[in-house]
Order: sequence, then C-alpha cells, then structure tokens
Amino acid sequence: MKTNILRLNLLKVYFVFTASLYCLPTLADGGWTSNGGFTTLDQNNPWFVGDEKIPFCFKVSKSFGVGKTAAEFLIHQSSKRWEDFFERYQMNLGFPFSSYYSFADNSKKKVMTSFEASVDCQRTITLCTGDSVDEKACHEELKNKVLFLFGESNSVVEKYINLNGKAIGAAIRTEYDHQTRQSGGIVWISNKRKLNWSQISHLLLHEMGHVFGMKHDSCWVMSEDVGHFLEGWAGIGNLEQIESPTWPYSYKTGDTLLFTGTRVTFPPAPKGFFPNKYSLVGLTESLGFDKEGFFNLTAHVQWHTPGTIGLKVIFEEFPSGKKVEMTGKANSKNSLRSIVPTLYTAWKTKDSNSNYNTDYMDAGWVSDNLQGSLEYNGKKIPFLLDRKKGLTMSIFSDETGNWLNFGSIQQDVTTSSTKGLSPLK
Amino acid sequence: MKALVTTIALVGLATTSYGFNLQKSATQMVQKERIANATKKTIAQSTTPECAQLNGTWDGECTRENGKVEKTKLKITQGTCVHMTIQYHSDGSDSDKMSFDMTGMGISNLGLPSVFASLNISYAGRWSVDKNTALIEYAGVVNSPLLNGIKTILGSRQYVRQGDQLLEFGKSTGFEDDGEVSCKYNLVK
Repeated sequence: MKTNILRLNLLKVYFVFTASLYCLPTLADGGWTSNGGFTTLDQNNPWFVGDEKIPFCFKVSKSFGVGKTAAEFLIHQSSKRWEDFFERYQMNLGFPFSSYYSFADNSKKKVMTSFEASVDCQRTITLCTGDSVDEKACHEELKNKVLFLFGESNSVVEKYINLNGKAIGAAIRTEYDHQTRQSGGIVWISNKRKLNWSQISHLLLHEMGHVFGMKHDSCWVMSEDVGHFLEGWAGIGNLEQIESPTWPYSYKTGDTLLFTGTRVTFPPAPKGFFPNKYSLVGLTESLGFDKEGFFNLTAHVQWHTPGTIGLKVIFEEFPSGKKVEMTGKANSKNSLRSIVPTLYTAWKTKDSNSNYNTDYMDAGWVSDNLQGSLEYNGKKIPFLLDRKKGLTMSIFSDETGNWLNFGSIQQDVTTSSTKGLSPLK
Repeated sequence: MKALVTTIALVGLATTSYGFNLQKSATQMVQKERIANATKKTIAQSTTPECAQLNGTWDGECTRENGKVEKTKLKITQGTCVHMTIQYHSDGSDSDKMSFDMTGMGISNLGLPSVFASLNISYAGRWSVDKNTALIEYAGVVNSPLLNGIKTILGSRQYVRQGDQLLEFGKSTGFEDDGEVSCKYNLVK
C-alpha cells in the first residue's frame, strides 16, 4: 500500500473540472522528492520531445459515445489539428529556442505530436485498466507511452476523480524523466456526461494539448472552464476548434477577431449581435446607429509585427446593415509569457554542463495589453486589446467619458445551463 | 428480421414534411442564423475540407463490431452545407434516399403495413464547426407484432472526408446487431 501511494505521488495531473483547474501539489511532490528536490516547474513540460512518434494504446467503454474505430480516428485527428496549429504559428521549431541553452548532443528537439499504435497494447491494458491496478507496474509501463481511456477508468484515475467528482477529463502524467525527456501517462475522457462526438473530440483536443505542453487558458480549447462549457447545452458553437475568433492563441495577419460572440439573448438577437441599447451605450450616437438595433463587432488583423498590431475595426448594425469602419494600430505593453509552452529540464549552458532551467517554445511571448487609437471621422479614439480568457476590446467613449468593453468569450463559456435556453419567440 | 429492422431504421432516417413543419415553427431569424453558421468558415480552418467534399458516389466496405464485413456503396448529394441526401446501395438494391437538414432536425413517421410495423425516428443533423464532419444523431421506436416488444433505437453516424477517402462511423443500440460500424469508401470516378 505504501509503495502504491508513493508511486501514485509520482503522477502529475491536469484535471478538467466544471469550474476550474484543480492542482494537486501535495500528491505531485513525490516526483521531485525522489529525484533530489525538483520543483513543479516541469509540470507543464510537453510529454515527449524528439523525432519519433508517440506510442499509444486505447480502450473504449462499450457505452461510450463513439466506438473504437472512431476513437482511434479522433486521436489522430486531434494530433493533426495540433500539428496544424503549431505550423500556423511556426512554433514547434524545436527546443531549445534560446541560444543560451543546448542539449548535450547539440540537437534541436521538437514536441512530438504524432501517434502510432503501440505493439504491446494487450499488456498495457492488462496492467493499467480495471479496479485493482498495480500502480507501480502501470507507472513503469506508461513511462514512454500514452494510454487513452474513453469511458474506461482504472484505480489511478479513480483516485484523482475522488478528489473532484466533477472531472470529465484528465491528462495524468508519469514522473518526468529528465534523461529521456519523456513522460507517458493516461488521457482519460469520462463517460458520465454521455458526451457526443463533438464534445468528445473537443475534450480530447484539450487533453492532448496538455500532452503537447499547452497551458490552460492559452487558447480557446485550452480554457480551464472547458468542462463547465461542455456541461451547458447553450452556446455550443465552437467545439473541435483549438482557436476561435473570440480566443486565438496570438495575432496573425489576415485573421478576423470577434468581440460579440455566440450568446443566446432574450429578447432574441441575431447570433453574434448584441443589442445597441444595452451594450453600445456611449457609442450609438457617434456611430449613427439606432438605439433599438443590434450590433456586431469584428476586427481584421491587417498586419502584425512583434509588439505592434494594425487593425481594421468594424461595427455592423442589424437590421440596417450599416457598417462603420475604423483603422488603427496598437502597441503591446506586456509580453505575455505565461501561456507559451515551456520545457524545464537540464541544459548544457555556456557556464555549466548541467543546469536546470526553463526554455520557452518559439519566441517565448505573445502580445498583450495592446494600447492604441482608432481613426474615425477625423478623431482618434483610444482603444485597448487584452486577453482575459479570450479577447476583450475596450473603446473609449467621448459621449460618456467611460470605457466600453467588448468581450464575448465569457458569454460563450458561462451561458447558464441551469436556466436553460431562453425561448425564442 | 435483422435485415428488416435495419432497413426500417435506415428508411426511418428519411425526412418527411413533418420535419420541415417543425422547422417552420422556429423563427425565420433563427433559421437564417443556422444557415449562415452552416456555411461560414472561421479562424484556422484553411486546410480543412469543407462539407461539399463529401459529395459523390462512394464505394467501399463496412465492418461491424461482430467482424461482419459488407460491401457498401453510397451516394451523397448536397446543394449547400444545409441539405444533405444519402442513398445507400447494398446487396444490389437501392435503399430509400435519406435527406437531412444539417442545420436542424426532422422526424419521420412511417407506416409499413406490409410488415405490421410502425416507426418513428427523429434525427438531428449538424456539421462540426470546421465543416469536415457531418454529425447525425437519431432516436426512434419500432413496434410490430413480428417483434418481441417495442424496440427503442438510439444511434449516431458521422461522415468524414479524409484525403481521398470517406469514413463513416456509426454506433447504435436497439438493433439486433447492436454496436459500432465503421466504413471506408473510395470515390467512384
């Protein structure tokens, strides 16, 4: 028993709860205790770096929302979606990014994102599924492979679920091996919510994001509220997407950003439109909009350089169809590093042969807290662009002397599931 | 009997005018939104196949959970991403066409006097946000003196274009041959 508890402590866990991420520092400390004082800095490490493919096994419950073939398809589809995402931002060029660090062999190591079926899954499933798993043996078995459990569970997962019964998914990692720079683990998708294809796919995308080193709230699919979002049944428009127009990872030239999201409103408004009289107070007159109308707010990223962004902001009114366009640029006042994937491990540095440090993937920052002004009718209107669980644009109103905030993601995520969908008349 | 129930269920997925009546009960605004949402593309989807790429005649085989393999052919037609029609050809004969409103739902209520069966099946169809997967969920009830009792059918089907192939995944309960089915088709040129 003592051995099992100790071994369990070697696992690190990322839960998807209905409300928040639940960290398990006390359970996670066995990993560094047994390895000489490591800290939790390696908890966000990508599970595998290198040039190979990640071996995987999977088991699907009979009562799960999709079958075995579909589950295997979804694993590869999620992997491909993350590869496309890394390609889009040219992020996965290989650790180390910093020229100060290097691996002992001076190689660059990319985050491994492709999966291939392991040859000995029968053994893995025998060792790691069921009610009485030998956690030590299972930990050893999963040191360099991923076991996907769809609607299935084991005693390792159950112990974590017991800490929060609302978990609907988890990526549970074995102790990080700083020699091989690999750690396998379990990706678990719950069956208790009777998730459908799109929900399963979305949750799998989230959990695999953790496998690839992505952090909570770094982009739409990595929202730490994903469980809550999937529980609600309104506002379900953005499943199976890593990014959304309301919550991209970063800014990219040519993208369209959206600040009036998919909220279901009462009285009814067209999807993506908010009522002028509630959400545009202080700008209606300046824009020449009708107080009884609705508006939609988007912004096209015209250009983006590190630290600066050029935008065309468009207010569109419904039902008049009137459009008001403003252009402007903003400068980043904060280089956001907390959402960038990191690798904490031992590096060879110029000063030392072995030094534990954190290296950032890519350039290591994302523009945030952008401040600038928009040109409209010969006037300059101050605006701010922030990331607060999705994008928020704030525009200063001369009419009221206040800032108007436009951010839709909170409404996407927190649309009430208890009150249900407002009737549309 | 297995073939009968299977055929009944497949036929039952067809849309009748009742489905459209349901749609009419929704506001015009909602319908417009659905259509707009069904056709628009969003961020980071430039490499993803669109729904129209499912169109065509497809030839392949389906494998059931019990290991049974069936040669299957199907034809998918769509005017837009909103209305999708699927016609299966199995064992040399054509099945009825199944039409889906991919922005809403439909209910089929069929009487089949020759086999003393009545069948109600409702479906909901939609595209995944990236428009590469057609998702159909259905539920129905079958009743016939030829059956031991009233049967409740639940199931889902997904159609995905992957490269040159069309993949179909299905899972159902209530049929004699319950379980999952997976199909892989090549485009007939």
